[in-house]
Amino acid sequence: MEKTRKAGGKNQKTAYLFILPSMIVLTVFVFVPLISAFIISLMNMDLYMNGISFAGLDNYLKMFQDARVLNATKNTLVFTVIEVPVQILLALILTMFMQKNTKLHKFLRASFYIPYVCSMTAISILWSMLLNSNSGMLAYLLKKAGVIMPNLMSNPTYAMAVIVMVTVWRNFGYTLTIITAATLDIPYSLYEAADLDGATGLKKFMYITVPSIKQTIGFCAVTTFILAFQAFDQIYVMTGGGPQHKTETLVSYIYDRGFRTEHDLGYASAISVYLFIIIAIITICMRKYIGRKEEQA
Amino acid sequence: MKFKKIGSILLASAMVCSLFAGCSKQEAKKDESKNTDETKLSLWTVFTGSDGDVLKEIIKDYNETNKDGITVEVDIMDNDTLQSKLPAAISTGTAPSFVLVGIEYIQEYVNNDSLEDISDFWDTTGTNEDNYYENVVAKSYVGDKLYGVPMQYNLQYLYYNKDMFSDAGLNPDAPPSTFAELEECAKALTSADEGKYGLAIPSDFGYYVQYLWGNGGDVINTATNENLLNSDTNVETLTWLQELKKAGVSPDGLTSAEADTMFQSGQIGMCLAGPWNINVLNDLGMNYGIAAMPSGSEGAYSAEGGCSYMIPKGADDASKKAVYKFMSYWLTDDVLKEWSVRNGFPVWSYSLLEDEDIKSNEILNSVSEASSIGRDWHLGYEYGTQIDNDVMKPMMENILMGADVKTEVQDAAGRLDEIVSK
Repeated sequence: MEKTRKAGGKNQKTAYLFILPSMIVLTVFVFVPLISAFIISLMNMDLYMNGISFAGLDNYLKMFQDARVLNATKNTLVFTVIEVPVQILLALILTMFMQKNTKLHKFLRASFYIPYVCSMTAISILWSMLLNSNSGMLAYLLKKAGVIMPNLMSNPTYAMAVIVMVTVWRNFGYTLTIITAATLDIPYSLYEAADLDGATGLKKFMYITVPSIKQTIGFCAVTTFILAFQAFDQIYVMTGGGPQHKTETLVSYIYDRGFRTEHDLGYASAISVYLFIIIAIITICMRKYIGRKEEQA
Repeated sequence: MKFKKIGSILLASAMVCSLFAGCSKQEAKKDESKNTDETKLSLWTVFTGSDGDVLKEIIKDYNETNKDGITVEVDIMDNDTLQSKLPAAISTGTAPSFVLVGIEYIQEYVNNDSLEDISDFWDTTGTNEDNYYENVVAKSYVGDKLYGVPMQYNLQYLYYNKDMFSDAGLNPDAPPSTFAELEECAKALTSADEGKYGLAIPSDFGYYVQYLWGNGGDVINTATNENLLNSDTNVETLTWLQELKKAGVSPDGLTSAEADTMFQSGQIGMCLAGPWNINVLNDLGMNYGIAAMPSGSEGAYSAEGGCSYMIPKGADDASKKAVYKFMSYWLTDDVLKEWSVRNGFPVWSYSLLEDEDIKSNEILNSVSEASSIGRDWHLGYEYGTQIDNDVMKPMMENILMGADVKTEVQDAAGRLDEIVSK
């Protein structure tokens, strides 16, 4: 008995040693910044580190009276609610045609994945240049065809749609790869049985493929949702939050207050904590919902 | 002090991820080589355009020819990046040896105790302060202390495409000198069928304040914080601009950078810009002219700008001494001449004005003539950037999109009040 306990203790130590590198990385890059951000949010602190003092909940009170926080929250939600389903739906639709493992399908999957490998900044610059209504390639070609292209990125009606489109274009390859990989694990016998029953391609997709990869879709939904809530690069490069703050998300407003205009780290951290809480609540709800659905299935 | 220390640790922790990802390795101020006579200086600056290449060439020449063993390593980045990196770098003792940024930042840096007082620069280097325009040098002073050494000075000028003027039946040697003439020329130059526009009206704020000033309006009294935005004069001027925009003289949603590009490609007949365009236009072989900002009912004014070398707080004596040497090198006539001739920036050194090459340079003469109407817009005002970003830019975007001018001005004035009442 004593021997077994000793062996178990030794194994436990080895196990802890294995997870130690991950714990160090998580502590340095996640836990410490998270706790620091929370503490900074309770202080009056600017980027210059002058006149630091305890502020209590002042930054949070200020935040709830700031119309731009409300506007940024609304924009972030709009962006997320449109971008996440579009990205997953597009990936699912393309998956219907990607379920084979031929050379062509592999090539197509790799092609769709390429934008995801490129930095969002580079992609945003590329699209900004393409869509520029004054000097862009698309505007030039449309003009040749007699169509005057409106300035999409400086128009409050279209700007957010353009940001969503660019984000989906860049990211859907990632979702597609994960979903396709999951579909390749579905037993082929299920499809054969469906064939014998005379099921069409769409029916097979709806009643075999989708239910079989529900868990993967749930994973994609959660990760895509978290990334969408943190959208920044494309907004910073393409619109800078404009026009009229119509594309300003919470992260771009945090950057604006912390590093661009007021250099107010306390206030920017308070908004970061607010964003963290929103993401945490929605993620927990999504996971619970997906978990319940799986149990029901 | 204790709070400051804790704050620094927290900040460093919170930023560690982004710093790893976004920041390049900080240059050591002292060369690590064994030769102790050599000093390496790091310079952060924002010259991302073609003038940045000229700057790098001048610095390269200095590195190769100076006998003090000084090497300046320049790191060029966009202004937003520099402004977000520098305060954190100063707080954590990793700032560059010196920076070259717009003079509008001096006051903010000084307020935050982020710059070295370099009032001894003139005496230490034996540079004659009186040889330079007083108004240019004065912009690097805060109170009676010097915090920067001027590198360049500029205003906004009216660039016009002479070929487009001729094609539109306008006299290419008679650029508009009043707002009424500007409107007339803008409309004459506009041809929707050909995709040609008469005048660039970008939404960046700096361009509008000149129109407001011209008709006797203003935004704020920076000395008293008095909000001057909501006035009938401003509403009239902005309505006039909105009407011009509605007449199709300018493309939609234009930024100043796009305006420069479109002027360079012959799509826009007139635009307001600084001297940094000259270099590009000359390289393109464009037939263009430069004139002063046209005048309104109360005169002609142009927003001043410029850059100065500044030393972040915490520089050691050896580094500071070496930076002084480089800055005094910059103020020599040879270097200032090269900068002005190659980039078209106005001359602000009295001794250089006597130079024959300068006297016979047509572009520089045009620029110098147009440089007598400079006016200070929030160069030393702590809320300047915030007013630009949070008040004026959204207001101008809405007005140019066709919103009611009176309502927009009232809303913007309200936002301005909120900012200055802090």
